[in-house]
Amino acid sequence: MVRSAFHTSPDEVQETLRMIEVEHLDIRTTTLSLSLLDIAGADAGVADRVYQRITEAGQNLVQVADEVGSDLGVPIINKRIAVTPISLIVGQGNPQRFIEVANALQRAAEDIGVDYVAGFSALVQKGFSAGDRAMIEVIPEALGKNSRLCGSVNVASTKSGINMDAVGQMGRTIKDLAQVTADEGGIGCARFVVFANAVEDNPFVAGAFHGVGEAQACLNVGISGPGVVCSALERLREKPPPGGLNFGNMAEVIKRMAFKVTRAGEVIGRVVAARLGERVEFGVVDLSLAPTPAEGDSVAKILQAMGLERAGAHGSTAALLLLTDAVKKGGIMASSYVGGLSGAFIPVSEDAHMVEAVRVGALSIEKLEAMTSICSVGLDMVAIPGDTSAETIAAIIADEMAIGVMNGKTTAARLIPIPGYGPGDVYSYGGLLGDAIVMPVNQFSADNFMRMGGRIPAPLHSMRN
Amino acid sequence: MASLSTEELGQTVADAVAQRLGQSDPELRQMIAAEIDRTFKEATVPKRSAAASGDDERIVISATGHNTVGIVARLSAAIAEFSGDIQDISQTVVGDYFTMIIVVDISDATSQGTTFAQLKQRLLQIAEDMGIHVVALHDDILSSMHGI
Repeated sequence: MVRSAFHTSPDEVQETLRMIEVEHLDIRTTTLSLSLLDIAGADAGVADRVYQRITEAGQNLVQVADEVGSDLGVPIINKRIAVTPISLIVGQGNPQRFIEVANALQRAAEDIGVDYVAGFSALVQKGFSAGDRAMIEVIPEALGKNSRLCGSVNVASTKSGINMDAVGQMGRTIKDLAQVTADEGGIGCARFVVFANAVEDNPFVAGAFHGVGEAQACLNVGISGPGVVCSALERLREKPPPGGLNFGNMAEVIKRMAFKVTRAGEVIGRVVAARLGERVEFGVVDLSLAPTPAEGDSVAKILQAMGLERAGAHGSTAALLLLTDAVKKGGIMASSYVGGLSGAFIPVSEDAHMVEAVRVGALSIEKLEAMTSICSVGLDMVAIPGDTSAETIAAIIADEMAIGVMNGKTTAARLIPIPGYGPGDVYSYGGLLGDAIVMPVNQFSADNFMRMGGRIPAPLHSMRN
Repeated sequence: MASLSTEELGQTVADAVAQRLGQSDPELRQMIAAEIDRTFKEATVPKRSAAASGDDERIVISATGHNTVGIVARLSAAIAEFSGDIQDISQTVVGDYFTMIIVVDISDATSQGTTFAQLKQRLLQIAEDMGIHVVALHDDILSSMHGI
């Protein structure tokens, strides 16, 4: 490649350095996404084949990602593996085989040094296959004892409606998973997502899996960057443009930042994919602004920089609309291959200012639900009281699925009923999972509604009011 | 100057030097000319090969910290040691605070098998010794972030 003359100005160099060093610009994840379809089977060897596929394809992932991060100067925080939904890989609906594969996934993750492998997943929006049933049955055991394994179940889609039998079962699965990992604050639930309209190329765990329409192996990148956007908005507020501060120039600033962050993600993704060898294609950049518990790396703080006292105040949904849309517009311009979830994440425990908003009473689960109607990805890392019934958990999920199905977007629920914890209690998971503060749930019963079986039909797509 | 060969360049410089010094010994002139020719050849030959392959590889180094003697000298010595070609330096000292951005073509270094990571490690070592902050990153990231 012949490069043009060096055209980056000293100001731009310094801006980049500030973004990296002060504002936490990093690449949240490079996820190597692998197809397992060609090694599916019902035999005893399937677990070994899965282990081999991952360790062969992913053996250099961590080293390559670290080298590229160092060369390009932008740290790559996580290296992960996503695989074809395991419910499609193991035949004859034998639960024991699913446990063997879960253990093999864990072993592979440990041996190649990635923090998570995701794809212990099933797609049941319209009904259960034998494999789906067997896999879902073992989710509490499989995720409970394999600390690097992530799973998801897609229970609804705009084209199929909501599989309420599956939703009901998810309530019980989440309760069981919390119970199995009760010693660690129900941490198993942090690795399990219930989806509507799940996407096939999401690089972010816990919800990543390798869709059936994907190539044999590809590398998807999840960017980060709430800190970068937040600082830019704060600077805009300190030094407003000549015409004064308005929503238009706020959107403009966010678009510019999203462009730069996405470009960083794209170049890193391409270089990592190239260095992994010719069999790995570059997939997509996921534009999601993903917060971390680090000070300043917060989506809630962006809403504050826009002028809200706290995330969750009236106006939060409108602010989030402006943010999510501007991020997409800037990012789309920067990369031809945008995919995954691409929105703003609002995982409560992983965002220090979200936790604070809950603590001071600014943010309720109902307001969070409203916010998820316009941003990805849903009720994410929401801790609820440990004694919440399976029916109530399922009803919370059903509401969240309804938002996704009706609006033709991805929504998800990653709920943690922390055993023994009540409203306002805080459980500290540490690391990227942060501090979970238990949010109160509505105490009125949905049991009779949730106990009905069947599906909620797919919605009409005209007359959209 | 680009139109002169290194031999011609050596001869011209040697003649000019000899004239200034009032020396007319042809043997001495020849020695100086040969020395200059050799030096230039060593310095320029690898660059031609890199240019011919069309594979420029640029990095940007930023150094900040309290101004002390020898920051530029030590960093540029390390860059030279790795056959880096400094293309641009921007430097300011505000009060006793020093900031510098150096743009370096490292295609010679990489064509000789040295990696950017090795150079970066050396620079960071110098930074630690001198109590300054040094960041080195590949230009690919800057070009892609700031260009459309």
